Amino acid sequence: MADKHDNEAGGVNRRTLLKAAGVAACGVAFARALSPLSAFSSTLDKERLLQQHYKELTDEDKARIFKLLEQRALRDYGARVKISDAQPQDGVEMAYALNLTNCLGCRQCADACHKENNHDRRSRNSYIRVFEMDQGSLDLASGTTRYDHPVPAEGKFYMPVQCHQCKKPQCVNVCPVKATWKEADGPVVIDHNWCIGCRYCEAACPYHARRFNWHRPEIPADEVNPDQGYLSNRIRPQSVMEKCTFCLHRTRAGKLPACLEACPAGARVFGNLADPHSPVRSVLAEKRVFVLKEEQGTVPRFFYFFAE
Amino acid sequence: MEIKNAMVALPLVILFASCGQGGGHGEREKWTKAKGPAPTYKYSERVHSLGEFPGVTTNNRGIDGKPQRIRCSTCHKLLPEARADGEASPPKKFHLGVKLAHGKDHNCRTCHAPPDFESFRLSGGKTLPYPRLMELCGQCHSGQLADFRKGIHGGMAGHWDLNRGPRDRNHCVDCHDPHRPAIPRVRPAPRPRYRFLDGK
Repeated sequence: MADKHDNEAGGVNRRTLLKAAGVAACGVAFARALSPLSAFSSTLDKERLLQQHYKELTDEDKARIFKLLEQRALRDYGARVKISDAQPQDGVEMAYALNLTNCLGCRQCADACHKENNHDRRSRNSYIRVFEMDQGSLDLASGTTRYDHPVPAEGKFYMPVQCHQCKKPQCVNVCPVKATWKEADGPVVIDHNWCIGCRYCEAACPYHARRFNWHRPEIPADEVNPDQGYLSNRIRPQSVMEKCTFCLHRTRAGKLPACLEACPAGARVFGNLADPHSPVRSVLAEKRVFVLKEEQGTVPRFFYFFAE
Repeated sequence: MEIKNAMVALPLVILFASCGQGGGHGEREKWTKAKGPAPTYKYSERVHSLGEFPGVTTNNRGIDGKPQRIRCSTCHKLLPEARADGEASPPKKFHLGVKLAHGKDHNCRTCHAPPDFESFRLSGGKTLPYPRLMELCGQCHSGQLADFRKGIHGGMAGHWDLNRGPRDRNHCVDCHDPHRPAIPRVRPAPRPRYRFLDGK
Protein backbone atom coordinates (compact mmCIF):
# COMPACT_ATOMS: atom_id res chain seq x y z
CA MET A 1 0.00 0.00 0.00
CA ALA A 2 2.92 2.26 0.62
CA ASP A 3 3.82 2.15 -3.14
CA LYS A 4 0.36 3.26 -4.13
CA HIS A 5 0.53 6.10 -1.73
CA ASP A 6 3.84 7.32 -3.26
CA ASN A 7 2.35 7.25 -6.76
CA GLU A 8 -0.58 9.33 -5.79
CA ALA A 9 1.80 11.85 -4.36
CA GLY A 10 3.24 12.54 -7.90
CA GLY A 11 6.59 10.60 -7.84
CA VAL A 12 7.99 9.03 -11.05
CA ASN A 13 7.72 5.29 -10.99
CA ARG A 14 9.54 2.86 -13.27
CA ARG A 15 6.62 2.42 -15.69
CA THR A 16 6.33 6.14 -16.47
CA LEU A 17 10.06 6.46 -16.88
CA LEU A 18 10.21 3.54 -19.39
CA LYS A 19 7.27 4.95 -21.34
CA ALA A 20 8.91 8.36 -21.61
CA ALA A 21 12.23 6.80 -22.62
CA GLY A 22 10.45 4.72 -25.25
CA VAL A 23 8.71 7.73 -26.76
CA ALA A 24 11.97 9.68 -26.79
CA ALA A 25 13.82 6.79 -28.50
CA CYS A 26 11.09 6.53 -31.15
CA GLY A 27 11.30 10.25 -31.76
CA VAL A 28 15.05 10.16 -32.25
CA ALA A 29 14.83 7.16 -34.57
CA PHE A 30 12.13 8.86 -36.64
CA ALA A 31 14.15 12.05 -36.98
CA ARG A 32 17.19 10.01 -37.97
CA ALA A 33 15.19 8.10 -40.57
CA LEU A 34 13.95 11.35 -42.14
CA SER A 35 17.35 13.08 -42.03
CA PRO A 36 18.30 12.20 -45.65
CA LEU A 37 15.38 14.35 -46.77
CA SER A 38 17.14 17.45 -45.49
CA ALA A 39 19.98 16.73 -47.93
CA PHE A 40 17.47 16.93 -50.79
CA SER A 41 16.16 20.31 -49.77
CA SER A 42 18.43 22.25 -52.13
CA THR A 43 17.12 20.42 -55.21
CA LEU A 44 13.73 19.08 -54.14
CA ASP A 45 11.94 22.32 -53.45
CA LYS A 46 8.40 23.58 -53.68
CA GLU A 47 8.84 25.19 -57.11
CA ARG A 48 10.16 22.00 -58.63
CA LEU A 49 7.37 19.92 -57.11
CA LEU A 50 4.62 22.23 -58.36
CA GLN A 51 6.12 22.79 -61.82
CA GLN A 52 4.26 21.54 -64.90
CA HIS A 53 5.65 19.24 -67.59
CA TYR A 54 8.00 21.05 -70.00
CA LYS A 55 5.58 20.70 -72.92
CA GLU A 56 2.84 22.45 -70.95
CA LEU A 57 4.91 25.44 -69.92
CA THR A 58 4.02 28.85 -71.31
CA ASP A 59 6.73 31.33 -72.26
CA GLU A 60 6.17 33.19 -68.98
CA ASP A 61 6.51 29.94 -67.01
CA LYS A 62 9.75 29.20 -68.81
CA ALA A 63 11.17 32.65 -68.19
CA ARG A 64 10.36 32.33 -64.49
CA ILE A 65 11.75 28.78 -64.16
CA PHE A 66 14.94 29.51 -66.10
CA LYS A 67 15.56 32.54 -63.93
CA LEU A 68 15.00 30.48 -60.82
CA LEU A 69 17.42 27.80 -62.05
CA GLU A 70 20.00 30.47 -62.82
CA GLN A 71 19.64 31.78 -59.25
CA ARG A 72 20.01 28.25 -57.89
CA ALA A 73 23.19 27.74 -59.93
CA LEU A 74 24.59 30.93 -58.42
CA ARG A 75 23.51 29.96 -54.91
CA ASP A 76 24.58 26.31 -54.99
CA TYR A 77 27.55 26.42 -57.36
CA GLY A 78 28.64 30.05 -57.34
CA ALA A 79 28.42 30.17 -61.13
CA ARG A 80 26.66 32.73 -63.34
CA VAL A 81 24.92 30.73 -66.05
CA LYS A 82 22.47 31.37 -68.89
CA ILE A 83 19.71 28.83 -69.42
CA SER A 84 17.85 28.69 -72.72
CA ASP A 85 15.79 26.27 -74.77
CA ALA A 86 16.30 26.78 -78.50
CA GLN A 87 13.54 25.09 -80.48
CA PRO A 88 13.99 22.56 -83.33
CA GLN A 89 14.57 23.86 -86.86
CA ASP A 90 12.33 22.70 -89.70
CA GLY A 91 13.90 20.25 -92.12
CA VAL A 92 16.59 19.10 -89.70
CA GLU A 93 17.15 15.59 -88.44
CA MET A 94 20.41 15.35 -86.53
CA ALA A 95 22.58 12.30 -87.06
CA TYR A 96 26.09 11.18 -86.16
CA ALA A 97 28.60 8.93 -87.88
CA LEU A 98 31.83 7.62 -86.37
CA ASN A 99 34.84 6.30 -88.25
CA LEU A 100 36.11 3.19 -86.46
CA THR A 101 39.22 2.99 -88.65
CA ASN A 102 40.45 6.37 -87.42
CA CYS A 103 39.39 6.30 -83.76
CA LEU A 104 42.48 6.17 -81.53
CA GLY A 105 40.73 5.47 -78.23
CA CYS A 106 42.20 8.62 -76.65
CA ARG A 107 38.94 9.48 -74.80
CA GLN A 108 39.20 13.16 -75.72
CA CYS A 109 35.53 13.00 -76.75
CA ALA A 110 34.49 11.66 -73.35
CA ASP A 111 36.58 14.31 -71.63
CA ALA A 112 35.05 17.11 -73.72
CA CYS A 113 31.57 15.76 -72.94
CA HIS A 114 32.42 15.70 -69.24
CA LYS A 115 33.27 19.41 -69.30
CA GLU A 116 30.66 20.63 -71.79
CA ASN A 117 27.73 18.91 -70.10
CA ASN A 118 28.54 19.89 -66.49
CA HIS A 119 29.11 16.34 -65.30
CA ASP A 120 29.91 15.38 -61.75
CA ARG A 121 33.68 15.76 -61.29
CA ARG A 122 33.92 13.06 -58.63
CA SER A 123 32.66 10.25 -60.86
CA ARG A 124 34.33 11.69 -64.01
CA ASN A 125 31.01 10.93 -65.65
CA SER A 126 30.51 11.36 -69.38
CA TYR A 127 27.83 10.40 -71.88
CA ILE A 128 30.48 8.61 -73.93
CA ARG A 129 32.08 5.28 -73.09
CA VAL A 130 35.01 4.15 -75.23
CA PHE A 131 35.28 0.39 -75.58
CA GLU A 132 38.61 -1.27 -76.27
CA MET A 133 38.04 -4.50 -78.17
CA ASP A 134 40.06 -7.15 -79.97
CA GLN A 135 40.39 -6.56 -83.69
CA GLY A 136 38.01 -8.79 -85.61
CA SER A 137 35.51 -8.96 -82.77
CA LEU A 138 32.39 -6.95 -82.02
CA ASP A 139 31.70 -8.60 -78.69
CA LEU A 140 31.07 -5.73 -76.29
CA ALA A 141 31.08 -8.12 -73.33
CA SER A 142 34.75 -8.97 -73.91
CA GLY A 143 35.66 -5.31 -74.40
CA THR A 144 36.66 -2.93 -71.64
CA THR A 145 36.15 0.77 -70.98
CA ARG A 146 38.68 0.81 -68.11
CA TYR A 147 41.94 0.66 -70.11
CA ASP A 148 44.63 3.08 -69.06
CA HIS A 149 47.66 2.52 -71.31
CA PRO A 150 48.96 4.36 -74.38
CA VAL A 151 46.60 4.00 -77.33
CA PRO A 152 46.04 2.62 -79.87
CA ALA A 153 47.33 -0.67 -78.41
CA GLU A 154 48.53 -3.50 -80.64
CA GLY A 155 45.69 -5.71 -81.94
CA LYS A 156 42.93 -3.54 -80.47
CA PHE A 157 40.32 -1.20 -81.88
CA TYR A 158 38.23 1.43 -80.12
CA MET A 159 34.52 2.04 -80.23
CA PRO A 160 32.96 5.05 -78.51
CA VAL A 161 29.35 4.42 -77.50
CA GLN A 162 26.89 7.16 -76.59
CA CYS A 163 23.17 7.78 -77.01
CA HIS A 164 22.07 6.67 -80.47
CA GLN A 165 19.03 9.03 -80.48
CA CYS A 166 17.00 6.11 -81.87
CA LYS A 167 14.08 6.60 -84.20
CA LYS A 168 12.24 4.02 -82.06
CA PRO A 169 13.57 4.76 -78.57
CA GLN A 170 12.77 2.03 -76.04
CA CYS A 171 13.68 4.38 -73.19
CA VAL A 172 10.80 6.67 -74.16
CA ASN A 173 8.32 3.79 -74.32
CA VAL A 174 9.00 2.64 -70.76
CA CYS A 175 8.92 6.00 -68.97
CA PRO A 176 5.91 5.88 -66.61
CA VAL A 177 5.58 9.67 -66.37
CA LYS A 178 6.49 10.73 -69.94
CA ALA A 179 9.48 12.70 -68.66
CA THR A 180 11.47 11.73 -71.77
CA TRP A 181 10.57 12.06 -75.43
CA LYS A 182 12.01 12.37 -78.93
CA GLU A 183 12.30 15.90 -80.27
CA ALA A 184 11.28 16.83 -83.83
CA ASP A 185 14.92 17.28 -84.91
CA GLY A 186 16.05 13.92 -83.57
CA PRO A 187 17.54 13.97 -80.08
CA VAL A 188 15.81 12.18 -77.21
CA VAL A 189 15.58 14.55 -74.24
CA ILE A 190 14.60 14.48 -70.57
CA ASP A 191 12.69 17.06 -68.54
CA HIS A 192 14.94 16.77 -65.49
CA ASN A 193 12.34 18.51 -63.33
CA TRP A 194 9.64 15.99 -64.28
CA CYS A 195 11.76 12.82 -64.00
CA ILE A 196 11.02 10.70 -60.91
CA GLY A 197 14.30 8.78 -61.10
CA CYS A 198 12.79 5.28 -61.42
CA ARG A 199 15.59 4.22 -63.82
CA TYR A 200 13.26 2.20 -66.08
CA CYS A 201 14.77 3.97 -69.09
CA GLU A 202 18.28 3.03 -68.01
CA ALA A 203 17.21 -0.62 -67.97
CA ALA A 204 15.44 -0.37 -71.32
CA CYS A 205 18.31 1.17 -73.28
CA PRO A 206 20.37 -1.47 -75.11
CA TYR A 207 23.35 0.92 -75.33
CA HIS A 208 23.50 1.90 -71.64
CA ALA A 209 23.33 5.51 -72.76
CA ARG A 210 21.47 6.79 -69.72
CA ARG A 211 22.99 7.63 -66.35
CA PHE A 212 21.50 8.19 -62.92
CA ASN A 213 22.57 11.04 -60.63
CA TRP A 214 23.38 9.16 -57.46
CA HIS A 215 24.82 12.29 -55.90
CA ARG A 216 24.31 16.00 -56.27
CA PRO A 217 26.85 16.77 -59.02
CA GLU A 218 30.05 18.37 -57.75
CA ILE A 219 31.56 21.00 -60.05
CA PRO A 220 33.95 23.82 -59.08
CA ALA A 221 32.48 27.26 -59.86
CA ASP A 222 35.10 28.13 -62.46
CA GLU A 223 34.54 24.87 -64.35
CA VAL A 224 30.76 25.20 -64.77
CA ASN A 225 29.86 25.66 -68.43
CA PRO A 226 27.64 28.77 -68.38
CA ASP A 227 26.02 28.11 -71.79
CA GLN A 228 23.23 25.82 -70.63
CA GLY A 229 20.14 24.30 -72.21
CA TYR A 230 17.09 23.44 -70.11
CA LEU A 231 16.81 20.06 -71.86
CA SER A 232 20.52 19.40 -72.24
CA ASN A 233 23.50 20.41 -70.13
CA ARG A 234 22.14 22.40 -67.19
CA ILE A 235 23.36 21.01 -63.88
CA ARG A 236 21.05 18.13 -63.10
CA PRO A 237 19.43 17.71 -59.67
CA GLN A 238 20.19 14.64 -57.59
CA SER A 239 18.23 11.41 -58.27
CA VAL A 240 17.17 12.10 -61.86
CA MET A 241 18.28 10.53 -65.14
CA GLU A 242 20.56 12.24 -67.64
CA LYS A 243 21.66 11.48 -71.19
CA CYS A 244 23.45 12.70 -74.32
CA THR A 245 21.36 15.13 -76.37
CA PHE A 246 23.89 15.69 -79.20
CA CYS A 247 24.77 18.90 -77.26
CA LEU A 248 21.37 20.42 -78.02
CA HIS A 249 22.39 23.85 -76.69
CA ARG A 250 25.16 23.91 -79.33
CA THR A 251 23.66 22.00 -82.25
CA ARG A 252 20.41 24.00 -82.24
CA ALA A 253 22.57 27.09 -82.65
CA GLY A 254 24.11 25.42 -85.72
CA LYS A 255 27.35 24.53 -83.92
CA LEU A 256 29.09 21.16 -83.92
CA PRO A 257 28.83 18.95 -80.80
CA ALA A 258 31.66 19.26 -78.26
CA CYS A 259 32.81 15.63 -78.73
CA LEU A 260 33.32 16.21 -82.45
CA GLU A 261 35.40 19.35 -82.00
CA ALA A 262 37.56 17.54 -79.44
CA CYS A 263 38.31 14.51 -81.64
CA PRO A 264 42.01 14.70 -82.66
CA ALA A 265 41.56 11.89 -85.19
CA GLY A 266 38.73 13.54 -87.12
CA ALA A 267 36.78 10.32 -86.67
CA ARG A 268 33.46 12.01 -85.99
CA VAL A 269 30.95 13.29 -88.55
CA PHE A 270 27.81 15.21 -87.61
CA GLY A 271 25.11 16.63 -89.80
CA ASN A 272 21.59 16.85 -91.08
CA LEU A 273 20.18 13.52 -92.25
CA ALA A 274 17.42 15.33 -94.14
CA ASP A 275 19.97 17.16 -96.33
CA PRO A 276 21.31 14.80 -99.04
CA HIS A 277 24.43 16.98 -99.41
CA SER A 278 25.39 16.78 -95.74
CA PRO A 279 28.60 14.92 -94.78
CA VAL A 280 26.68 12.38 -92.77
CA ARG A 281 24.62 11.44 -95.84
CA SER A 282 27.85 11.00 -97.84
CA VAL A 283 28.95 8.47 -95.23
CA LEU A 284 25.66 6.57 -95.44
CA ALA A 285 25.63 6.52 -99.23
CA GLU A 286 29.28 5.62 -99.84
CA LYS A 287 30.87 3.87 -96.85
CA ARG A 288 30.56 0.50 -95.15
CA VAL A 289 28.15 1.45 -92.39
CA PHE A 290 26.60 -0.47 -89.53
CA VAL A 291 24.50 0.33 -86.49
CA LEU A 292 25.06 -1.23 -83.10
CA LYS A 293 22.60 -3.96 -82.06
CA GLU A 294 20.49 -3.58 -85.19
CA GLU A 295 18.45 -6.61 -84.09
CA GLN A 296 16.99 -4.55 -81.23
CA GLY A 297 14.88 -2.67 -83.79
CA THR A 298 15.71 0.73 -82.29
CA VAL A 299 16.74 2.29 -85.65
CA PRO A 300 19.64 4.40 -84.32
CA ARG A 301 20.61 7.81 -85.64
CA PHE A 302 24.23 7.02 -84.79
CA PHE A 303 26.20 5.14 -87.44
CA TYR A 304 29.60 3.46 -87.36
CA PHE A 305 31.66 3.25 -90.52
CA PHE A 306 35.08 2.22 -91.82
CA ALA A 307 37.43 4.51 -93.75
CA GLU A 308 37.64 2.39 -96.90
CA MET B 1 -5.13 -19.53 -116.84
CA GLU B 2 -2.38 -16.94 -116.89
CA ILE B 3 -4.81 -14.26 -115.77
CA LYS B 4 -5.87 -16.50 -112.89
CA ASN B 5 -2.25 -16.94 -111.80
CA ALA B 6 -1.71 -13.24 -111.97
CA MET B 7 -4.77 -12.63 -109.80
CA VAL B 8 -3.41 -14.99 -107.15
CA ALA B 9 0.08 -13.56 -107.38
CA LEU B 10 -0.91 -9.90 -107.16
CA PRO B 11 -2.26 -9.89 -103.59
CA LEU B 12 0.76 -11.96 -102.52
CA VAL B 13 3.14 -9.41 -104.06
CA ILE B 14 1.32 -6.58 -102.30
CA LEU B 15 1.41 -8.52 -99.02
CA PHE B 16 5.17 -9.13 -99.22
CA ALA B 17 5.85 -5.56 -100.26
CA SER B 18 3.89 -4.19 -97.32
CA CYS B 19 5.74 -6.55 -94.94
CA GLY B 20 9.01 -5.15 -96.15
CA GLN B 21 7.93 -1.60 -95.44
CA GLY B 22 6.37 -2.26 -92.08
CA GLY B 23 8.11 -0.93 -89.03
CA GLY B 24 9.53 -2.94 -86.19
CA HIS B 25 12.36 -5.38 -86.53
CA GLY B 26 14.13 -5.71 -89.82
CA GLU B 27 13.50 -2.13 -90.90
CA ARG B 28 16.43 -0.97 -92.98
CA GLU B 29 16.60 2.45 -94.51
CA LYS B 30 18.21 3.21 -97.86
CA TRP B 31 20.36 6.29 -98.27
CA THR B 32 21.13 7.34 -101.81
CA LYS B 33 23.83 9.62 -103.13
CA ALA B 34 23.02 13.30 -103.46
CA LYS B 35 21.95 14.36 -106.94
CA GLY B 36 22.69 17.71 -108.50
CA PRO B 37 25.13 20.36 -107.36
CA ALA B 38 25.57 21.17 -103.69
CA PRO B 39 23.49 24.13 -102.55
CA THR B 40 25.19 27.41 -101.75
CA TYR B 41 25.36 28.36 -98.08
CA LYS B 42 25.64 31.73 -96.40
CA TYR B 43 28.97 30.82 -94.81
CA SER B 44 31.82 28.69 -96.08
CA GLU B 45 34.42 26.26 -94.91
CA ARG B 46 37.84 27.66 -94.07
CA VAL B 47 40.75 25.27 -94.34
CA HIS B 48 43.47 26.03 -91.82
CA SER B 49 46.14 27.72 -93.91
CA LEU B 50 49.84 26.96 -94.00
CA GLY B 51 52.33 29.66 -93.06
CA GLU B 52 52.31 32.84 -95.14
CA PHE B 53 55.29 31.70 -97.16
CA PRO B 54 57.26 28.48 -97.55
CA GLY B 55 60.03 28.29 -95.00
CA VAL B 56 61.31 26.87 -91.75
CA THR B 57 60.88 28.06 -88.19
CA THR B 58 64.13 29.02 -86.50
CA ASN B 59 65.29 29.34 -82.91
CA ASN B 60 65.60 33.12 -83.27
CA ARG B 61 62.77 35.17 -81.84
CA GLY B 62 61.50 38.32 -83.52
CA ILE B 63 60.46 41.57 -81.85
CA ASP B 64 57.02 40.04 -81.22
CA GLY B 65 58.67 37.28 -79.16
CA LYS B 66 57.58 34.56 -81.59
CA PRO B 67 60.04 32.23 -83.31
CA GLN B 68 61.06 33.67 -86.65
CA ARG B 69 60.29 31.92 -89.87
CA ILE B 70 62.64 32.28 -92.81
CA ARG B 71 61.98 31.57 -96.45
CA CYS B 72 63.42 28.46 -98.09
CA SER B 73 65.05 30.62 -100.74
CA THR B 74 66.98 32.55 -98.08
CA CYS B 75 69.47 29.70 -97.96
CA HIS B 76 68.70 27.59 -100.99
CA LYS B 77 69.26 30.46 -103.41
CA LEU B 78 72.13 32.27 -101.79
CA LEU B 79 74.36 29.90 -99.88
CA PRO B 80 76.27 27.49 -102.06
CA GLU B 81 76.80 25.28 -99.03
CA ALA B 82 73.05 24.96 -98.46
CA ARG B 83 72.49 24.28 -102.12
CA ALA B 84 75.05 21.53 -102.06
CA ASP B 85 73.50 20.09 -98.94
CA GLY B 86 70.13 20.24 -100.67
CA GLU B 87 71.49 17.80 -103.21
CA ALA B 88 72.19 15.31 -100.45
CA SER B 89 69.46 13.05 -99.19
CA PRO B 90 69.18 12.88 -96.23
CA PRO B 91 70.67 16.35 -95.57
CA LYS B 92 73.80 16.34 -93.44
CA LYS B 93 74.21 19.94 -92.28
CA PHE B 94 70.68 21.39 -92.34
CA HIS B 95 67.18 20.21 -91.50
CA LEU B 96 68.70 17.73 -89.08
CA GLY B 97 65.39 17.38 -87.22
CA VAL B 98 63.75 15.85 -90.27
CA LYS B 99 63.77 12.07 -90.14
CA LEU B 100 61.90 10.85 -93.16
CA ALA B 101 59.53 7.95 -92.43
CA HIS B 102 56.92 8.33 -95.14
CA GLY B 103 56.39 5.60 -97.71
CA LYS B 104 59.31 3.90 -99.42
CA ASP B 105 62.25 5.21 -101.43
CA HIS B 106 61.36 8.85 -101.02
CA ASN B 107 63.82 11.72 -100.72
CA CYS B 108 63.51 15.50 -100.43
CA ARG B 109 62.93 15.96 -104.14
CA THR B 110 59.99 13.57 -104.25
CA CYS B 111 57.89 16.42 -102.87
CA HIS B 112 60.07 19.57 -102.75
CA ALA B 113 60.91 21.18 -106.08
CA PRO B 114 64.47 22.42 -106.73
CA PRO B 115 66.15 24.79 -107.20
CA ASP B 116 64.72 27.10 -104.52
CA PHE B 117 62.49 24.48 -102.81
CA GLU B 118 59.66 27.00 -102.43
CA SER B 119 57.14 24.96 -104.35
CA PHE B 120 56.18 21.31 -104.53
CA ARG B 121 56.91 18.72 -107.14
CA LEU B 122 54.18 16.45 -108.47
CA SER B 123 55.02 12.88 -109.46
CA GLY B 124 55.01 13.85 -113.15
CA GLY B 125 57.68 16.49 -112.53
CA LYS B 126 55.42 19.54 -112.71
CA THR B 127 55.68 22.06 -109.92
CA LEU B 128 52.78 22.95 -107.65
CA PRO B 129 52.56 26.34 -105.89
CA TYR B 130 53.08 26.26 -102.15
CA PRO B 131 49.46 27.01 -101.03
CA ARG B 132 48.15 24.04 -103.05
CA LEU B 133 49.95 21.46 -100.90
CA MET B 134 46.79 19.40 -100.40
CA GLU B 135 46.82 18.38 -104.05
CA LEU B 136 50.33 17.01 -103.59
CA CYS B 137 49.16 14.79 -100.72
CA GLY B 138 46.13 13.81 -102.76
CA GLN B 139 48.12 12.36 -105.64
CA CYS B 140 48.83 9.30 -103.49
CA HIS B 141 46.11 9.62 -100.84
CA SER B 142 43.24 10.25 -103.22
CA GLY B 143 40.70 8.44 -101.04
CA GLN B 144 41.47 10.65 -98.08
CA LEU B 145 41.34 13.79 -100.23
CA ALA B 146 37.97 12.79 -101.66
CA ASP B 147 36.68 12.12 -98.13
CA PHE B 148 38.09 15.44 -96.96
CA ARG B 149 36.19 17.26 -99.68
CA LYS B 150 32.96 15.57 -98.61
CA GLY B 151 33.61 16.66 -95.03
CA ILE B 152 34.11 13.15 -93.66
CA HIS B 153 37.88 13.12 -93.07
CA GLY B 154 39.79 15.31 -90.67
CA GLY B 155 39.05 17.31 -87.58
CA MET B 156 36.93 20.44 -87.68
CA ALA B 157 35.32 23.05 -85.49
CA GLY B 158 32.59 25.64 -85.82
CA HIS B 159 29.18 25.10 -87.37
CA TRP B 160 27.58 22.01 -88.89
CA ASP B 161 24.94 24.32 -90.37
CA LEU B 162 26.76 26.56 -92.85
CA ASN B 163 23.73 28.82 -93.03
CA ARG B 164 24.35 29.85 -89.45
CA GLY B 165 28.13 30.13 -89.26
CA PRO B 166 31.46 29.09 -90.82
CA ARG B 167 33.35 25.85 -90.28
CA ASP B 168 37.10 25.54 -89.71
CA ARG B 169 38.77 22.51 -91.21
CA ASN B 170 42.16 21.08 -90.38
CA HIS B 171 44.77 20.87 -93.12
CA CYS B 172 46.44 17.46 -93.78
CA VAL B 173 49.60 18.67 -92.05
CA ASP B 174 47.78 19.81 -88.90
CA CYS B 175 47.45 16.16 -87.87
CA HIS B 176 49.96 14.30 -90.03
CA ASP B 177 53.63 15.29 -89.88
CA PRO B 178 54.41 15.17 -93.62
CA HIS B 179 57.81 13.63 -92.97
CA ARG B 180 56.49 11.12 -90.42
CA PRO B 181 52.76 10.81 -91.03
CA ALA B 182 51.92 7.92 -88.70
CA ILE B 183 49.90 9.15 -85.71
CA PRO B 184 51.95 8.61 -82.55
CA ARG B 185 50.55 6.74 -79.58
CA VAL B 186 48.96 8.91 -76.92
CA ARG B 187 48.04 8.56 -73.27
CA PRO B 188 44.22 8.55 -73.04
CA ALA B 189 42.19 11.03 -70.96
CA PRO B 190 41.27 9.74 -67.48
CA ARG B 191 38.72 6.96 -67.45
CA PRO B 192 35.40 7.32 -65.62
CA ARG B 193 35.03 6.00 -62.08
CA TYR B 194 32.28 3.45 -61.83
CA ARG B 195 30.12 3.31 -58.73
CA PHE B 196 30.11 -0.48 -58.52
CA LEU B 197 33.47 -1.39 -60.01
CA ASP B 198 35.60 1.27 -58.36
CA GLY B 199 33.65 1.96 -55.16
CA LYS B 200 32.26 5.33 -54.19
